[in-house]
Amino acid sequence: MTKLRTIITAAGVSFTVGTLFVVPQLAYSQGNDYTPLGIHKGSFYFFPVVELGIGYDDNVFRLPDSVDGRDVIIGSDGSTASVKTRQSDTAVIMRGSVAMNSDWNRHALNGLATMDLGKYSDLSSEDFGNYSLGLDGRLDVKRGNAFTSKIGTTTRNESRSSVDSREPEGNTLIVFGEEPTRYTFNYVGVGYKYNPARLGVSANLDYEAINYDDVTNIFGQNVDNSDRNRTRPNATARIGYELMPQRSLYIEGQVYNIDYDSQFDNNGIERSSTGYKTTAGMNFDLSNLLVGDVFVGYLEQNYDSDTQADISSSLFGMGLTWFPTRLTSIDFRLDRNVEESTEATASGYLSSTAGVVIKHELKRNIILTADADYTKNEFQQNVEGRKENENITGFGLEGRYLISRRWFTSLQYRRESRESDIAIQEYTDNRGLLTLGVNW
Amino acid sequence: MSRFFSLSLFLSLLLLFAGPLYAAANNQPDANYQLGAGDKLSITVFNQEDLSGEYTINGSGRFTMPFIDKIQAAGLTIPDLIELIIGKLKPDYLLNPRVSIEVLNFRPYYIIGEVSSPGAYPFVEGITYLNAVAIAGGFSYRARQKYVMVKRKDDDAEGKEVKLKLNSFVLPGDIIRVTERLF
Repeated sequence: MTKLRTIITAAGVSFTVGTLFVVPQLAYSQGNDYTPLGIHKGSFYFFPVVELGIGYDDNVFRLPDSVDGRDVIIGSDGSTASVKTRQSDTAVIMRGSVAMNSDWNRHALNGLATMDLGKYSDLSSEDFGNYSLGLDGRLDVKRGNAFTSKIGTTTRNESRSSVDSREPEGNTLIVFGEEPTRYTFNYVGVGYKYNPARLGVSANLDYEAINYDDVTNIFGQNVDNSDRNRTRPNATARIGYELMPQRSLYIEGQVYNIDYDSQFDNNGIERSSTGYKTTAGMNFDLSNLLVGDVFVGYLEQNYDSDTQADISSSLFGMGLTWFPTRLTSIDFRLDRNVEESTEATASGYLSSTAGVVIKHELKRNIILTADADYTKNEFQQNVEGRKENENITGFGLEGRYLISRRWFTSLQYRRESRESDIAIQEYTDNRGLLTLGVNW
Repeated sequence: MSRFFSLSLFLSLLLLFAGPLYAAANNQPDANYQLGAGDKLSITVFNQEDLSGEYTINGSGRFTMPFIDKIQAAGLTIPDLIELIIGKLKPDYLLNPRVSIEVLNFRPYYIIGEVSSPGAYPFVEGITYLNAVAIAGGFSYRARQKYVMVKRKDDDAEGKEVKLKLNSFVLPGDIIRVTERLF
């Protein structure tokens, strides 16, 4: 589920430009003449944002150049279909969001609602409407003790690049839906934090559920995606100790269960599993010049079926923000997780990601951002000798001009490419987006 | 007689140069300092209490003295002003006027741009541009900290902005601009 959260933090589907990770604001750029003040109503601040833009994508279906260029193909059952080749298109994009923050002295209630709409000029099948709504709260019991809770839902299109939504047929054809697969992700969680003096203890119980809609493929056949529906209850506990101000060590453990609604998927494979993750790490803040978190650990995911290869791996992670000057921040991220898969020959895949985001305040109202990321997905094969790994590299640039406290405009570019042991899953994609936005 | 003459000459010379010498001992600007709007002067005409007093140069660079009316002082050095006043008093009002001038308050300097508290600040002899930035609350996070841009008015003409290092000395009336850096 972690990768879904990663996608959710980026904007749009086909126009997922800009940063892959959440980037903190430059510390010294907060509170200037261009910072939105929000709308204060009662005990809450609301921060609405609306953005309208035009985007271009030179490879909407994320296909390699080698895909068969014929207009019509014959399927294995005699049905015919137009081949999806590498195609470009422009789209009108509209994004809206409202963040809500309480201003209470004790307790807290925050929320975020987002909407992402896109209409393509030619490829109307790719039109999208993605929505999300989330609330999180904190109930203070006494100093250092608090209950926490969260609830939310997201409905969006699965990326065309997802290997779970496309099936290679031979070396020249990718079979996928006439329209992108749509899914809904729901989550709810409760927790408790206890921080007596230097010691900190927290425990969380979360429940996540994801459901996929059926889709019609390019041969007009219905693809039943209900076998991908699953839930993931998990429990996490963490103990931390503050060695000195702004430097603390912690140990965290998580156990989880992945329960598929159907015992067997469409390939007859039983995919439910249980897993655990343990990490040890350190949080630190060095004079506001280097802020972050590093950790190492171990994860293991065991499948209920004996035919599915269990996954185990060392874990490493890092989230560092370095401020080399007061105008520039550099954000480093490292992460590794196990992700679910629908591949017939793989139980799941180990996803390792590294990324860097550089943000620079050229002037108070001109923010430049550059980012680069690398992801290695290693599919854990059930078939001896079979290999299916993929490397995804991304590079992005963004220039944001704050016209006033209310209005802004941005120009974004992103290039993404995937190399794969399965050649037909490779692609290169370039996207651009020009927007005009208003915020309060 | 010749002895009396020598003593008189000596005393006259002493009085003639008393103003500036006395001024130097009391932290007064050097002889090349050009007066400007905002400077407050103490003018003493020997044995003439009606003419002596404190005068402030107004925005148009002038001040008014009894008998003489308006005096255009902006752009003049103190010796030049002494000479001007003597020229206006003599010979219609006084045969041999003795004038001394002291600057009581200098005109302020101004600091704008990337500092915490831009504005006008009273001039203090001997401060550098770095001192001036500190008095104005320090650099903002976007400030260029290697030099400042300074504009000085020459006479009644608009001064040109020049780049000066932070250890240079501030002069009264300086308009100091701390610029913004891009990187």
